[in-house]
Parts: sequence; C-alpha cells; structure tokens
Amino acid sequence: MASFQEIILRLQEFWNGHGCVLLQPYDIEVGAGTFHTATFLRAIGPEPWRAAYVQPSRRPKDGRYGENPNRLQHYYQYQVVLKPSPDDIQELYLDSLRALGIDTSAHDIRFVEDDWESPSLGAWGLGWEVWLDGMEVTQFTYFQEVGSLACRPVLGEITYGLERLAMYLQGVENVFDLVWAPGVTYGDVFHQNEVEQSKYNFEHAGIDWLFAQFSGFESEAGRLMGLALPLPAYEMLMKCSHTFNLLDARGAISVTERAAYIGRVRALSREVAQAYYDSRSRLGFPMCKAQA
Amino acid sequence: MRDTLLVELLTEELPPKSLVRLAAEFSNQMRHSLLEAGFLSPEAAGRDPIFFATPRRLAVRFDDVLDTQPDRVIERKGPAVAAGVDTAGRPTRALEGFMRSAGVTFGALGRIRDGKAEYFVARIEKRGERIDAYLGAMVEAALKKLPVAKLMRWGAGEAQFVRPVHGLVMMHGPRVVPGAVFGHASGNLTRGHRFMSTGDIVLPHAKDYAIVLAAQGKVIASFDERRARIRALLDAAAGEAEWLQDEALLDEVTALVEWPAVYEAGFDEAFLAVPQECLILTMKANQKYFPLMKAGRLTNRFLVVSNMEVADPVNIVAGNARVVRPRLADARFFFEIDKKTPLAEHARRLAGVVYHNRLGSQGSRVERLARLAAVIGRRVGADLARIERAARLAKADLVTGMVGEFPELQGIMGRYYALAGGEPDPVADAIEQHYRPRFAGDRLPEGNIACAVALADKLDALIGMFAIGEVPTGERDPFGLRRAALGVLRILIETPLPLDLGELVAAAASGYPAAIDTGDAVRVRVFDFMMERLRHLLREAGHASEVIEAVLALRPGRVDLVPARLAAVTAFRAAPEADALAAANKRIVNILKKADAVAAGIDVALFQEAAERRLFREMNEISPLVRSLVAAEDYAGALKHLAGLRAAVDAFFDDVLVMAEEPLTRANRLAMLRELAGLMGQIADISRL
Repeated sequence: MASFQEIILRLQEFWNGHGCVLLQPYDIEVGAGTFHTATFLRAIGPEPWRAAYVQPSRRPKDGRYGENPNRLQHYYQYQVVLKPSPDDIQELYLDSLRALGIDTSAHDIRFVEDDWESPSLGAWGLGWEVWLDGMEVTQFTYFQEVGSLACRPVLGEITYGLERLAMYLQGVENVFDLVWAPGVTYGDVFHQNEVEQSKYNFEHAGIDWLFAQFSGFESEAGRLMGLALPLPAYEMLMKCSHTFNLLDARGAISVTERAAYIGRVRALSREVAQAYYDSRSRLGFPMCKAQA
Repeated sequence: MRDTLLVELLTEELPPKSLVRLAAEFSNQMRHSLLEAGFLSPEAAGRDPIFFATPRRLAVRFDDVLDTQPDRVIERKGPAVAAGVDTAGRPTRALEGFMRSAGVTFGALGRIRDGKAEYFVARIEKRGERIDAYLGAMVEAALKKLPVAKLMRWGAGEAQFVRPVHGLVMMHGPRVVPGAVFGHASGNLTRGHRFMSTGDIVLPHAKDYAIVLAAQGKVIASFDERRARIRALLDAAAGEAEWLQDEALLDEVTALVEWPAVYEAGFDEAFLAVPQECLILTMKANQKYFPLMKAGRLTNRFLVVSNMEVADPVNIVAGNARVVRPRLADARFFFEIDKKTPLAEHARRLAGVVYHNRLGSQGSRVERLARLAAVIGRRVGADLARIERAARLAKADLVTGMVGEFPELQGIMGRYYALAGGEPDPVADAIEQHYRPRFAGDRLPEGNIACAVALADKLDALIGMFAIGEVPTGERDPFGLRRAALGVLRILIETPLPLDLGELVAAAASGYPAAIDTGDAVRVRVFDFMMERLRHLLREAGHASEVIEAVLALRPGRVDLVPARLAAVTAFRAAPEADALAAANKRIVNILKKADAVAAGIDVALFQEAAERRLFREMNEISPLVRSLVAAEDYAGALKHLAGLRAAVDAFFDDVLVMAEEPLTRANRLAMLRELAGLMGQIADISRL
C-alpha cells in the first residue's frame, strides 16, 4: 500500500518522465494550485510549458476543527500543466493512475462534464471531474481564458486531489487516518493545525485588520503595476484573494459585497495578465525560442 | 450508386445533458445538406433519422445515398431583355459580361418572365459530382451549426468544438469517402470502449457500424438502445424493490456510458432517519444513482449505472458505497443542526438576506407576504392566524444549512422543520406548497392557507420585478415570472377561487413602500402580462383563438369564471344565430366608432319604424333576464336569450337607416345600438367571433 508521500513520489516520477519541470509549491497562501504562477501566468501567451508540483491549498471556510473526516481547510493538490495540451492528455492521465497501482480494467473511471470558472481570476475552461468508482479524484481542465485573455495555445490542467486519491488507495474512511509515512498518519502531521486554524479562520481572525490588509495589498498591487512589475503585483493579488477568503470565513462579507470584492480581485488579475503578456512579449517570448 | 452513408466523429467525453440534442441536430443538418446537394432523395430524407450518440462519439447514418449527384440544369438569371440587347438586337455590354461569366453563347440563352419584365436566362448543365467533393465540408459546416453553449479550443490548433476531436469516419458503403474535418482525415477506423476495448476497429461497411462497434468495441452506439438496455438492467437488478423512475436522470446516465452495467450498493440504515427527499437528492444529483424504493419508502439500497462490465464488481460497489457515505453524513449533519434552531428563529435572519438589491431583503419580502396572504385569506374566509404564520415561516428554510447545500429542497425542508418545531399540519403544508406549481403540470397548493400564501408569493414577485423593470424578454426570464403568472392563473382557475385579479394585483402593489413605484402603470402592465399568459394557457388547452379573444377582450378579472365563459361562447358559436349576431356586432362596433352624438337614453317617442319598436321591445324583455343570468354565472343561458334577438336585429338593420339625416333620430338610434352592444357584450366581445 502506497503511503501519502509515496503517492506524491510516484506522481513526481511519472510526470518527470513526461517532460515536466518539477516545481515546488508557491510560498504564498493560495486556494488552489491554479494560483501558482506556473499555471496562472504560464497559461498566458504563446510559450510552451510543462510543469508539475504539489500545492498546499487553503480554503478557510472548509475547516471543520479537525472533526469532519472529509473536510480540511488546508490540503494538497498535485498539479500538472501541459501547454499546448497534447492530443493524448487523457491517456497520459490514465497512465499516471496506472502508475499509482490502479487497475483501470477493474474500476469504473469516468470523465464527467465539469466546466471550471474562477470569477476572481477572470478565468474559465472546459473539462471534467474524473470519477474513480463514483469518487471525484481529479479535476481536468482545458484553459480557455485567463485574466480575460484567450489562451492560445491551450493549457491542459490536471489537478489531483491528493487526500481523496490517497484515501481511496489506502481504503481509509477518515482523512486523518491516512498513512503519511510508515508509522506516521496525516492526523499526526496536521490534526492540531486543522483545530487551531479553524479557530483562527472562524473565530479569531481580526476583521478590521484583514479589511485593512485587503485594501493595502490591493493598492500595493496597483502601485507595482504602475512600475511594470507584474510578478510582484501578482503576489499582492494572491494575498488579496486569501485575505478575502479569510474575511468570507469570518462571515464579514455580505452577499452583495461579495460580488464587489470578487470584482476588485478580477480587475487586478486582468491587469496583471495583460502586463505579464506584455513583459513576455518584450522579452521575445523566450520559451518559444527554446522550443525551436 | 446508392448505398449507406456513415459519418462518425470521435471526441473526448461530451457534455451528457446536451448529447442527444447534439446528435439529433447533427443528423438534421446533414440530412438538409445531403438533400440540397442531391445525394439524398426527398423520399429517403423523409425517413426517420438514424443517429448515434455516446460519450465519445457522434455519428449519423443515411441509407440510400447516391455516390454521385444527378446531373442538373442550373438556371442563372441575367439582365432584362430590354437592357440586354440594343435596338439592332445585338447583345449589350451587360449581356456580354453575363454570357462570359455563365460560359454560354448568345444562341443558347433562354428567356423567362419575372413580374412585368422579361429576362435572359442561362441554363447551364452541371454534371453531377462525387460525394467526395462535398462530404468533408458538409460535415464541418453541420458541426459548426450545432447548438453549443460554450465552444473550446485544444492544443495549439484553431479548431473549435464542444470537446477535442480525435477521429473521423466517413464511409459510403464499403468505401472510405476521403475528406477532412477539424484537421482529421477520414478513414474507416474507429475506437471502442475506453477500457474494455483496445486498438483501432476496422469498419468493413457503413451499414455495419453499430454491429461491429458492439461486437468488437463494447460500445452500444445508439442512445435509445443503450437507454432501453439500462432500463432493463435496472428492472432486473431492482428485483422485489422498485428503482426510483426519473427520465432525466436516465437520459443523463445513458449519456455517461458506452457499455452499461448496473450494480447494487447500499448505505447504513441509520441514515434513513433523515428526510428521504434529502437522501434521494444527494444520491441522484451528486452521484447519479437510482435509489431503491419499497412501497413508496426509500430503502438503504441503490443502483449504480456503471460504464464497466466486470466479473467481480467489488471495487465499483465498495467505491460507490464509500463515496455516498460522507455525503449522506453531510445531509444528516445539516438536518440535525438545522432542527436545533426553531424555524421562527431562522426567519429572523432573513432580514440580512438580499432578495433583490433594488427590492430589499427577504425579511421585508416576508412582511409583505404575510400582509398580502392575510388580505387574500380574508376574501376566501380562511384562518388568518395560520395564514400569517405560514407566510412568516415560508422562506425561513432558505437560511438553513440543508437548503444552502440543496436549494432544490426549499419548501420541503421548511415543512419538515415546521413539523419538528410543532407547527400545525396546515401551516407546515403551506410552507412546502407555497412554491407550487413549480413546473408545468405540477400539482397546485391545497387548501385556502397554502393557496393564499402561494398567491401572495407570486403576486408580490410579479409586482416587484415589474416595478423595477425586470420584465421577461424573449427566452430570458431569470426570475421565473412567466411561471409565477401561470401559477396564479392556475390556482385561481383550477382551485377555483372567486378572487378578482385586478384587486389582487392592486393589493400586492400596495404592499410595497412608496420608494418603489407600483402605481397604475405597473399594475396595468402586470395585469396585461397575466392576460397574455392566460391567452397562452387557453390556447394550449385547445380553445379556439376567436373564442379566447372574444372572452379576453373584456379583460376578465375573475379568471375563475373564464372557463364557463369560454364554454358558453363556444356553444353559442355553434348556434345558427351566431354568425348573424357576430356580424351585427361588428357592424355596431364600427358604427359606434364613427358616431358623433349618441343620445343619453332611448326616447320611444322618436321611433319611426316598426323594426325599431320591435328591437326595443325584445331588448327590454330579455335585458333583466340576461343580466341576472350573467350575475348567476349562467353564461350559456344568457347567450341563448341573446341569440333570440337575431330576427329583431336583422330586421332593424334591414329596415332602419341608423345614420338618419335628422340629428335627434340619429342620436336616438345610436343610443339603442349602444344599449344592444352593452347587453351582448356581457359575456364576451361577440364581434370577434
């Protein structure tokens, strides 16, 4: 039986064999692997790109004080991006499941329509959730637009839900019972974190301070855009997004305000996307040359 | 040579809910193109279309397709004869240009008459071409016309379709029709099931497509056949129990599998303590399972429609059972947590929930509903305290965890929570039923309490949304106002309830604060909108449109009486006097329209003709009778008496000159016609028949 870390290792090994740059997580709190510059920014423009990485993802609202066997406010995604998306991308993905020891002739694996949209990133794509005997274990998306820019060529994104996949592979009912490494469970590593962070997210996060932070990050992003520094500006956007999620978990944002805040983040992401495109263009899209 | 034509497009997994529509439309477009180009005879095109649709393929098949078009004569119209030849009969420059472009000589030109002028025409013989020259472009054009909500690109290509395309089969009989679509060259190779088949499958002949795919590819290509197979498998697997029928879900699972297999799985019986609507919805919406029922009650077993036929389904059964557990646990969690707070307490939180940013909160809406429902309740003589209670709790479940998770359970959960909180049955039932009718053909709310709240809910929405200009246009009706209007009409007509629509609209309008303009203009628009919906409703019910127009011309506020009026007018129309009276009515309407001075009353002393006196006498005889019959809602009886006036009316128009020279006589005769029109217009506008 593969431990949690062995599952990661096998995925690393598999995608290493398929020309991916193996990256490390982005070192800022994000809600999903999509926020990593290796996905969001690399999806923009004509340059080819292949990467794979684990991304710790934070969804403050999903915390359950470590009491729910299926819900976490901090969890892991394994993210693979292939641009342009190869013709055999589905087959590659299925091969990666086989590499994890899943016999695809003894399970019911299906690609079920699930289109993806991130209003705050001004991004959308079409694709599926992948069902393994009825359980959603992967999100599969062909990016069509990012920061309101059309994706040409198209980036194919494969996002494995590592905990779900591991629970399935290990036959475990409670995420905290996952074997992380021999003798060490997921609970040993993260249970206390789930309890404390849930308390913070729902009860103690300083609302006024967070609002001030949001505005601060937002204006800083604007200032950086003025200096033609899209990458630092993008980091401010990530921080805005996470701050918004915290405020949302604290119930500090009403339904009507919600749309306005998301709109502010989206406006930023649009500017950053365009500025990043322009900056790559000024550099002559260097990855295109590398390919040629 | 005639043979079967097959086109198959291999794709990645297509969206299940639009799969059949895509395939059917593909087939339509192809049929149209093949017919137009002459490859398909009109007779062959008239047959039922044969199309195939699986998650990974769209295909169409046409029998009796020609491989070469018949030779055709194409007519091209040139310049008018007058402009085509000069006075000497020689071709003008315009005509020479035409002859050059059409490739014909002067002697070969024909002439046709079109309207007043005569034109030159070139008749060009066109040799029929092979289908090879057409098919690829036809297929691509057809695919581009499919009703796709969102198109996508993939890889580095330019092609756009619903999902990435992987292969193309185009065959006429045993022969591959060369061509390309979205950059894929055609062939006779297809692929089978993603997991139960490997490699390419060679199609020997277009007509063998489905057979070969089933035998070698483990794919049932026909949607209908697969659907029937799933139904049979579900029947067999259910055994003693019954699987919960759901046609839409059956369509969806059919679109998610190429080779169906059905397995049974289950969950802990303890979950059955949760309302079964929640469990059923969880299983159907999230997992696309068919719950098993016994004697109308949910059991802890369900059927999974799988895409894999395996000897030992242990993984599939265990996996699906494992997936559903946390979902059911979530449902139970919400139910237990929600129940801890009384519904009235939940209702208090509605003040903080936006109904519409220009119409305020759900809380203020509930205030209006309570008031309006009470107004309605007073008129139908219902228990006002219960009506108000039901109205105040009607929306409370919107803030509960369960409805937050499953919006479809609105109302249903409200009823459960109301009962759990000790509310009386009629209040709990009204909370659930006030959303009815939720769709065409849905049941109506039962009892005065539920009807009052249901009417208030819909009328308040109609008035509010019309007041801020959120009016349905074309396909767009985001607030479901057509459904709301139809709901009001159905409740009034079918229950029936003796309420005046104009008064209901006014009562709803007066519930809004002054800042929202719900004045006469808005009320009239809402009333007109309802009349328009009523017209649709009655047409769908099969009433003749003249009869509908005749009745609706009176803008009947008491819509509950409309069916009786329709029946009376329909019966009247069949009477021998009907045509004459309708014609007379039309005449009267026209005369009155043009009339200058109409006397205030009828003066007997001014009568000059016997026919005048006769009509006056007969009108006076039946007038009180007609009015009392109308008051007693005996419209057929009233119309029967009116029909009796026919001879007198005919005589009047034969013998009497209405527009007499003498002004007083004329005004008096016009007054009589007005009286007659008023009498006949009691039930409907007869002039419209």
